[in-house]
Amino acid sequence: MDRLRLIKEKLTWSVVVAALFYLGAAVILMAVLVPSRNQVAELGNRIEQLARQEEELNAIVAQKANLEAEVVEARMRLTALGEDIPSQYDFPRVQDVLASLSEYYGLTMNSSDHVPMQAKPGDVEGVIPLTLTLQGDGMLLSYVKHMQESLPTLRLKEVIVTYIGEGQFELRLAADLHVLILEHAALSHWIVPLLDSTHEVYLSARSFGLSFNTVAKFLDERVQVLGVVVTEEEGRVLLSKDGTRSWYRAGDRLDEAVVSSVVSNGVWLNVDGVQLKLEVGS
Amino acid sequence: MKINLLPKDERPLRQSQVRWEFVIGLVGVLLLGVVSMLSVAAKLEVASLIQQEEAALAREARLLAEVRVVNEIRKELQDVGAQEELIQSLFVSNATFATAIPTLSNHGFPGLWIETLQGTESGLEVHGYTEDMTSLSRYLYFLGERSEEVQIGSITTAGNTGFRMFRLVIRGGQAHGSLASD
Repeated sequence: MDRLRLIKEKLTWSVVVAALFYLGAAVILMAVLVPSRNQVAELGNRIEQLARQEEELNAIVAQKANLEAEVVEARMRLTALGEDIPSQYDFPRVQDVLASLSEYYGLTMNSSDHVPMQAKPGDVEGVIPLTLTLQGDGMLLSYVKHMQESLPTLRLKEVIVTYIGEGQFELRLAADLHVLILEHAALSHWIVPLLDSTHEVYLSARSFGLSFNTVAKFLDERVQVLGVVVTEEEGRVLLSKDGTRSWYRAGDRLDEAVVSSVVSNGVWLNVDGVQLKLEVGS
Repeated sequence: MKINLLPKDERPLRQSQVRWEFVIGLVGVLLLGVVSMLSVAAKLEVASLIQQEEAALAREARLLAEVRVVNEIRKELQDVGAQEELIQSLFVSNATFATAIPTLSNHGFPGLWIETLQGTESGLEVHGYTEDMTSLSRYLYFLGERSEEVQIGSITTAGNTGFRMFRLVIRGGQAHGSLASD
């Protein structure tokens, strides 16, 4: 009781007011100041993070001009490449080029054929298989080289060069022409190659001979030497071919062969560069 | 001599003395003032930071739109690049058939003739015939010098004609990729 009385005596109005000040300060501290400081710290972190992101984004945006320039450059390259590649709409002109090229090199185009292209929706490139047969002299290879350079997407699958005599060759060619598949012919950038240069690749006939079947028919019993007459002026030979007998002298032609010379025991035939000696009684 | 009969608490203070209640009260007032001021300052700082954050978010939104444009350009570049790659793959390079043929066929060996040269994507075949096996051996050596591999595909005797027909297969070197290769 004495203690309570003592407290009551000490608890004056000035002590109560002072206590209220402390209490108010504590409330403001806990309710306003501390949460505000926490919010400041949180916002500071978020702003810092945003600044970092902004920096990264700025770095990406800074690439825009370069990338645009690269796109323009790549499109120009694409257009330039397109100038060398025909589209499916250009195939008739490709055939014209092949024909013109054969005339350019003095060759005869015996046949030209192709398989129509089969393309699925969405395909950007297609293949047109084609076959050609040409005939001509050693310039045939110049034709092939020029053709490959003029049509760089022409993939040769098989090329057969056969000697057909008298310096002439036959060229059989199978190839796949890769074309771009376009929606409209107007989208093609293909430039028809100019035939303003000559590719000198010459195939000498010196090492070639007619097919052995042709040569062999002079070696088997179909051609026989029946007799030889050799005088100081000239030599003559009696040959039997498929049962028909005839006299021949040097320079005379017997099918693909030419009589080179008549000697005492036989005759020399030149089958387009292949020298054959047929003897009497052989 | 003066004797102060008032109790000690009620005696008037000397001029230099203050009551303890006053000091505690004053400290309380100051504390309340300081805390209030700091709170106001913190609130102002929060408001300023919120403004900064909003501005940064607005800038970020604008930049993100630009980044989308950049990404579209990048995608376009990739598409064009892929298209370019595809077109490049259509080109046939190193097609040396035309130039390889004269090199491989132009020999000077007597009694040996070439009938046909057949170029395929794997190499070259030479079909011919000879009446002189020495010439064939020399021709094989000749081809061997100009290619990586020469194989005799076949040699057959043509009856009693004295001729032999041959088929040679050439790979690599001059014959390599003579028709088409990548």
